[in-house]
Amino acid sequence: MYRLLPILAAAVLLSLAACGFAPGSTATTPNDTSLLSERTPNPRMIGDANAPVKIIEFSDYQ
Amino acid sequence: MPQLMKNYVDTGKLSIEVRDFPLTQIHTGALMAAQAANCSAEQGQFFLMRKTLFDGTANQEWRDGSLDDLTTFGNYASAVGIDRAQFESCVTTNRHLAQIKADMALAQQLGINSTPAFIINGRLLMGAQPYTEFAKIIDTMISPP
Repeated sequence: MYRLLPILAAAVLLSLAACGFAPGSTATTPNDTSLLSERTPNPRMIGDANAPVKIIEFSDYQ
Repeated sequence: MPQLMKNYVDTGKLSIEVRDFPLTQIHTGALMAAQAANCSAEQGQFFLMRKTLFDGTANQEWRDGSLDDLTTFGNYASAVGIDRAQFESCVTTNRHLAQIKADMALAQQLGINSTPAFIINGRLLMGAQPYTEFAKIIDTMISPP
């Protein structure tokens, strides 16, 4: 069982690296671009995703 | 806005994305309406449902997120041609609530406290605006002076 621990640890580290984490890294504040990213394709968007200008509208319904 | 669509979206210069910021303190039905819109997005009718919801509130067809409003929204779902049962299941199970709350948190983080509000290439513009204001900003961003 204990012989598997290094392999498990390596697997966990690889998973974390794939998700963008790394040992010793510090948290970063996301910039506006990352904050505003959306899933693709985005059913709440119209127009070309590569258009030079993008409007994000925050709306209420009443 | 038809002019923005024709002159900028249809010509590939502009994309418009909608995020939710239901003002739940003063608009008690807005959260369910946001869920209705997002549940319609699952079936490809986000923008048509959005327009229907706006028209409906203008005509006082729904009000406070009550069961009556849920029935009204179900009627809207049928009218826009999506599966009503799937739609109602989505709304009543709050399937998109986390996403809506994330949008609300983002709005607050960006300093937005009223609607409508617009982020245009990172620039915040608050309040309803005439077409000419959008056109001026977009033109400047496409072709800086």
